[in-house]
Amino acid sequence: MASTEAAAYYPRVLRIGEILRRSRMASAGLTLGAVLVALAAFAPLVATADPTAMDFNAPFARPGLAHPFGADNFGRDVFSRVLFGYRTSLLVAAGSVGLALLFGTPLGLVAGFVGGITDHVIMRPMDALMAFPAILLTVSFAGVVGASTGVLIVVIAVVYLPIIARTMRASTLAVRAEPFVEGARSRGASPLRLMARHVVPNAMDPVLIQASVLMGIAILIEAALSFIGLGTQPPHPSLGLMLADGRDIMRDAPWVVIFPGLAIVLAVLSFNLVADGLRDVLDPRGALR
Amino acid sequence: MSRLQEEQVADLVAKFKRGSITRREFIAAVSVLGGLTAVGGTIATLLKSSGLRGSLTGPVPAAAAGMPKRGGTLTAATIDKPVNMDPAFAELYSSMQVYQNIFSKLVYVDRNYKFVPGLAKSWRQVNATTWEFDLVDNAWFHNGDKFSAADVKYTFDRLFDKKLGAANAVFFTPTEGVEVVNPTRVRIVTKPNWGGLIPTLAAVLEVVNKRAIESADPKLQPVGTGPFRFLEWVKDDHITLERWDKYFKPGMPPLDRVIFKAIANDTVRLTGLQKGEINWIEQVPLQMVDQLKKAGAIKANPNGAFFPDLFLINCTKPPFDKVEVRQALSWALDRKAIARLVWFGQAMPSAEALAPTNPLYSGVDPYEGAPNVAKAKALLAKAGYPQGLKAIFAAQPQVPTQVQVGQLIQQMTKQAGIDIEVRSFESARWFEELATKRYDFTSTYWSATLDPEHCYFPLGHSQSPWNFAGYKDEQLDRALEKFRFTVDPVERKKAYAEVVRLTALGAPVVFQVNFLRTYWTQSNVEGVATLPSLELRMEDAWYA
Amino acid sequence: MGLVRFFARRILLTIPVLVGMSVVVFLLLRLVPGDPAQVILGLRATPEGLAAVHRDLGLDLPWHRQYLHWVGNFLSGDLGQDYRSHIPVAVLLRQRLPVTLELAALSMLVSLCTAIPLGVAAAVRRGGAADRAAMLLGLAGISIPDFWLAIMLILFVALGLGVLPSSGFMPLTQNLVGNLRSMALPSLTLAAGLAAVLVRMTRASMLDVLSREYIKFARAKGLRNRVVVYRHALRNAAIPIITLLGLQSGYLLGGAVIVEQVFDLPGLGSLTVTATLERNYPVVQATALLIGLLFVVVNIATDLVYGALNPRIRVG
Repeated sequence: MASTEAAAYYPRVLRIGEILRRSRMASAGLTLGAVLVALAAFAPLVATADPTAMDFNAPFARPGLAHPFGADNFGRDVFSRVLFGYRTSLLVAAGSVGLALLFGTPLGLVAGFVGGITDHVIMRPMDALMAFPAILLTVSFAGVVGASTGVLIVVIAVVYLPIIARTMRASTLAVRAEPFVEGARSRGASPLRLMARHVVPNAMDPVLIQASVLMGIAILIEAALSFIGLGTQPPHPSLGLMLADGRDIMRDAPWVVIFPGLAIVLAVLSFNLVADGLRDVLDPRGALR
Repeated sequence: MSRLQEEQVADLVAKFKRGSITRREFIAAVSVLGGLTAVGGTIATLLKSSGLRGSLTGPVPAAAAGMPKRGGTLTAATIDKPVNMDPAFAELYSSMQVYQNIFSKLVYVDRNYKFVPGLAKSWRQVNATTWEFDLVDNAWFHNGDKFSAADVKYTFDRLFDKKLGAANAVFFTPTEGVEVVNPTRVRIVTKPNWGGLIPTLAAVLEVVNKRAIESADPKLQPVGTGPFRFLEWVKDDHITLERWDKYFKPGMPPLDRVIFKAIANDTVRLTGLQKGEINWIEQVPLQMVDQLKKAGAIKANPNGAFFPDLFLINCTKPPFDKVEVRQALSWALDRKAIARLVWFGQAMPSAEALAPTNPLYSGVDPYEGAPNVAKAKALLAKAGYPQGLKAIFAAQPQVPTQVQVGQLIQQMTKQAGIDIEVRSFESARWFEELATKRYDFTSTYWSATLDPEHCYFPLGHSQSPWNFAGYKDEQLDRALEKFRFTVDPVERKKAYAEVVRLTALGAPVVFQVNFLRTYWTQSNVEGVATLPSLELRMEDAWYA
Repeated sequence: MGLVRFFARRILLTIPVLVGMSVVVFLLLRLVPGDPAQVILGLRATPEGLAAVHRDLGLDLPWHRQYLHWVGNFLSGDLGQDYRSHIPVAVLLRQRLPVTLELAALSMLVSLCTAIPLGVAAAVRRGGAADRAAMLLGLAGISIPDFWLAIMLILFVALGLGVLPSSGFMPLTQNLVGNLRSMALPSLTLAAGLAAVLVRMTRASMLDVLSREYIKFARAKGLRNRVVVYRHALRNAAIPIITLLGLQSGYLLGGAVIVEQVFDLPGLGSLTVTATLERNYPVVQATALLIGLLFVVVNIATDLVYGALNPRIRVG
């Protein structure tokens, strides 16, 4: 646990820098992720066309100057649709994980820190929630409320909430038992101060790793659900939706399915690289789990 | 999903190794995790399956001449599985496709809309309310009973039996009674001058046998006078029919046997035909039609525009409760684009339900020149929506053409100021939206276009259970009833033109295109053609 | 404590789980909007027609009576009938189960044969070729959506190279080679995701075990490397691997849905999907229960394997 002890005294920013230096994987992942996020953010500038604009005269256009990734059966530019599709994917990923972090972290922190009955009161409902299969929840919700990106974000966040809470709780428990925390407490620090200054900075690592993984999974879930029609609705571009639509015409226009899929892979890959890299550096033995 | 599990497992294992949970707890936790994964993985995944697709080719001249050779088994692959062999219920087209070969009608229609004899050798209108039919005397049911006028009466009585609740009864509402004059003569009494009697007989009336219905489940054991006898039904796999030796048309049918299979996947069906395992298929993937025709290995049989696709608009609530808004939609519609992009050119742009080859065809289109954005905008302003409006198009993910039409109409109406959202409803919910009239608008096909009686009446008359648009217009009701109770063909045509005009102006439904339904066969199969009644008359098919 | 008592307890415990699951499925089906009668009659539905179908299918009874009716029939062996085709559900399941089982088994086989050896080799020689391959496969496999992989395989292998069929299923009894050919791409698709996770888990678990004290002891004792690795290390590393397999098989059994849909395989997955969309209650209820049951069986089998590996000694 020596690394953790020492780590407690380094400001957070420095630690992140060190981690990146030490893990090529994490930096690669972050770079890739940053590029994709930038592309998504600046999609209107980078895109070569309006993603929903149909060109009745150019269906199935091959990849070329006018359409870098080709056009689909309505003449819509695949490249632009992929860029805007990224927006949807990253929005869902960030939104759902963000929501889960917002509510799950404090819940896990309090449960782990205070323990006792509070722990039970918080975690039993979390366990029950976690028991519920993600897809079942999503489908029922979407089936009743109606499918849309917003619904997806909320539902995925609900699925992720217990995972984040549990992870936070576990690492809070581990950190709480550390000598330096005891030391701070004996020096008269209030519980709030203990939590904020000592526990949280050190307990966040596994949660961040988990968050990275979950962002990747969120992208896959959004794609899968849009693929089956229960996610993003047409004509909003969604990578999953493009794959579903493209299935019927992929014989004549394979680019309609190749590029959106690659886009999904790249995005998920970046998150997985970051997660793996972080784990290699912070937690090579799985001790912090 | 598997990555999540990886995390969870690693988490549990670590705990176990640390000793923070016992072996028992570990196993229990894993069971719970897995059990729910199984539940989730199984039931919940509502996935869309591939939807329906039409298959069409351009119009082709009459079938090749030649003498029908006797013999052979034809294996036919339809899209959907048959469900119920009882003609009174006619639940699904897929069932009709099969049982129409087992039963006979009194009257049939040919490709040129001429009505030809079936079990009725001839017929005439005796007076305003009575029609007389002379029946054949050499028809036998597959169970040995001889066909007679009593069977016709029984068929009608059964149809109108309230306890049975036969769906097709609604087509015969103007019928008052059936009289048996003698074993080969029957009279049907209707409200005065019901011009739709003959077409309706040719569309939906299959004659059944009382003894057969009472002795076995008619859903599973059909007995008729048709060219083919029911042999076996291997559920979920195929139905086999065999030539009925005592068929009342001598020398018919040429085929020994017909086997009906259902293959939902377009590609698998096509491959079956190309490999020779199947001899007849209902449809090919639309985008492949041109290349298949060029390759010439399989045959596209004569087709026709017998399958319209139309917009269904809910007239009972905003925004489409105002007729001007519906008219604006009609002006914004670009039919040619829909025919080209959604149906790959295998459909004809059409402003009415009937095919151009139908003698009654009117050609009336108050919106000639559409798309016309200016007119659409002007109408919206008149309706009180100068800034435009929003509407929701209900689409089923299981029907790709519907989703595509929705996206297209979205584009088309954007300029006019109508902001359309395409919302997904899986089929069960889509039906509910329609039944409860919660939807704004949607699109659908309509398969009964032999006579305007079967499409314009159900869709537009205020008393019709199939008026999904909730449209109530006295003028249209009167025009429909006037059409219904006209017998003279010339007068009928005039009355029909008026119906088309009023329907287009009121726009509870807006016809977009007419699908060119084509059956594909191996090159040595003759006698196959698409019929206005959409029957599969396998008795006409033969091997060259 | 007696193996028999252990299993008896386990089996008894599964009953409440199955009952609970059946209730949940039953309720969920009826709560979600959508009327089976409407789906059956389609556009031709009239209020009378709908009422008739409701009577026919027993849907006009109150829910608790419907449930008890179903349970009663179930226990006497009658699983009900498909709402549309009236085919007995038992027949449908008998037709569909082998397809899904075969798919799951083939996928499992392929992924085990690739992932375990690769993961072990990767751990044994860190930084070597196997290690890099394992990391690559692992990372790629969890980043690629299975439905996209399926589409790519169809595009390039089936349509492009033309060596394997792009969809459809050839029954085993009809033609063995044809059957394997029609299963090749689907099982590859499923195996990829599974192999990725397995390889990562194997590698991580082996690395962990190989660094332990008793392994160093074994090496010091002079045991050959291969013996050390396979007899001692792998045995201990196996727990998480087996656990993961157990979980994944449950997922495979019911969750091969997307693959079955994309490749048009007549398995349990696509049956459940179509039935759910059609609101074909008896089919969905029976299928869910069947899969739950299968999963319980897999669970118990996993426990047996744990016992064989005897992990108690290795804790701490």
